Amino acid sequence: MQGSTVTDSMAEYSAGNTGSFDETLPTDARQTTSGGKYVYCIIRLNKLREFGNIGIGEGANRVYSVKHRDLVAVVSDTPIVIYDPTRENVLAHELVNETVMREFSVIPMSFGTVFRSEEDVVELLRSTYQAFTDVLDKMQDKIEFGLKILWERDKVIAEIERTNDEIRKLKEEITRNTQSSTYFARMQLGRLIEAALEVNSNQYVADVHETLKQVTVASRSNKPIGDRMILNAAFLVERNRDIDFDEKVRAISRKYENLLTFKYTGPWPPYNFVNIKLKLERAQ
Amino acid sequence: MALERSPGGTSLIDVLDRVLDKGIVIDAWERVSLVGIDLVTVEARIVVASMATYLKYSEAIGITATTPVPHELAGSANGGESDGVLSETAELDGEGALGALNGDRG
Repeated sequence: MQGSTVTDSMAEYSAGNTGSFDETLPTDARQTTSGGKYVYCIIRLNKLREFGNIGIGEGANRVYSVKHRDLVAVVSDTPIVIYDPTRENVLAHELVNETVMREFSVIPMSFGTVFRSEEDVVELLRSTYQAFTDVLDKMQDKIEFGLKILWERDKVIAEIERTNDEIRKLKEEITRNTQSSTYFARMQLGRLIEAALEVNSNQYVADVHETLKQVTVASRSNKPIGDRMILNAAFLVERNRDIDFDEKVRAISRKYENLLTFKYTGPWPPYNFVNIKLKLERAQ
Repeated sequence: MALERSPGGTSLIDVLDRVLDKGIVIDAWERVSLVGIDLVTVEARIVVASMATYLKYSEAIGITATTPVPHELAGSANGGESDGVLSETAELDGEGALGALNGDRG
């Protein structure tokens, strides 16, 4: 589960619209045109462009552009089908985005968006032109990096026992008087350690944010996954500062070398920093 | 190794984490009807239901797992900003896409 607040609140007010528009629409009207289009991302470009035969689906589908004014949707031809998020499909979607991203600032589409025809893609660009233009301005020359931090809980506890006097003394006491030490004392030790763990976790995370702040435009924290993860974040970085960001991540990971594991991915399209929900409206 | 670096498309989990519900999302369809969008020309058109970009630095100091996003997008530009998040809601067609949708099919 992604569980971002934005997504959740979106879902709420869209709930009334799960009915399909299909029933009332002439479904065969478009079948004779050039067929379905899978849309990968939106970029700013004033001409048509080919991106190679790396598209999603059977065979090596040509990835090309559908243009409206200075916006381009990067698409490939597809039958009108629902794509399951299989490994192959998801990686194909991502590969196209990464390929395009090498040269352009992209607004990524979420996985699996198929339009019935090229005209519909143009209509998408036309009706959302201003919104996409604004977002492209903001995302110009920016890329995303992912950073997950896992901790070695045992080592952190050892570190706490070494540095926290109260905990160390209580532990020594318990170890010394194995026979007489009470259940309460052990409980107390456990509670102290839990509290200290949380303090440490917050300190580590704050330190990482403070360090990376100097080289990033924005950050977003997602929910950590599992017991070991203390940070699951995305950072938006100026493309020409990716080396600075890299150096900072390396520096901070060296600082916590024995306690924390840094898992660092990217560059990505700015998925975590663009949130555009589109929906259908009945034309009057 | 305390640092593992991998390029974007190599970890399926990290890819899935992004592509399934982030970026530009066509909302409000079941996936079945998504492929049946016959959206334009006469019957229907696409509107921007909401739009937010997260550009300002979050005040993340000392907080582990809060997500720096505005809680409600609609009309929350000010509230979001005070949380250190720049948010904006763009209703391009201005005439209440929500109302149109809700009243749409009775």
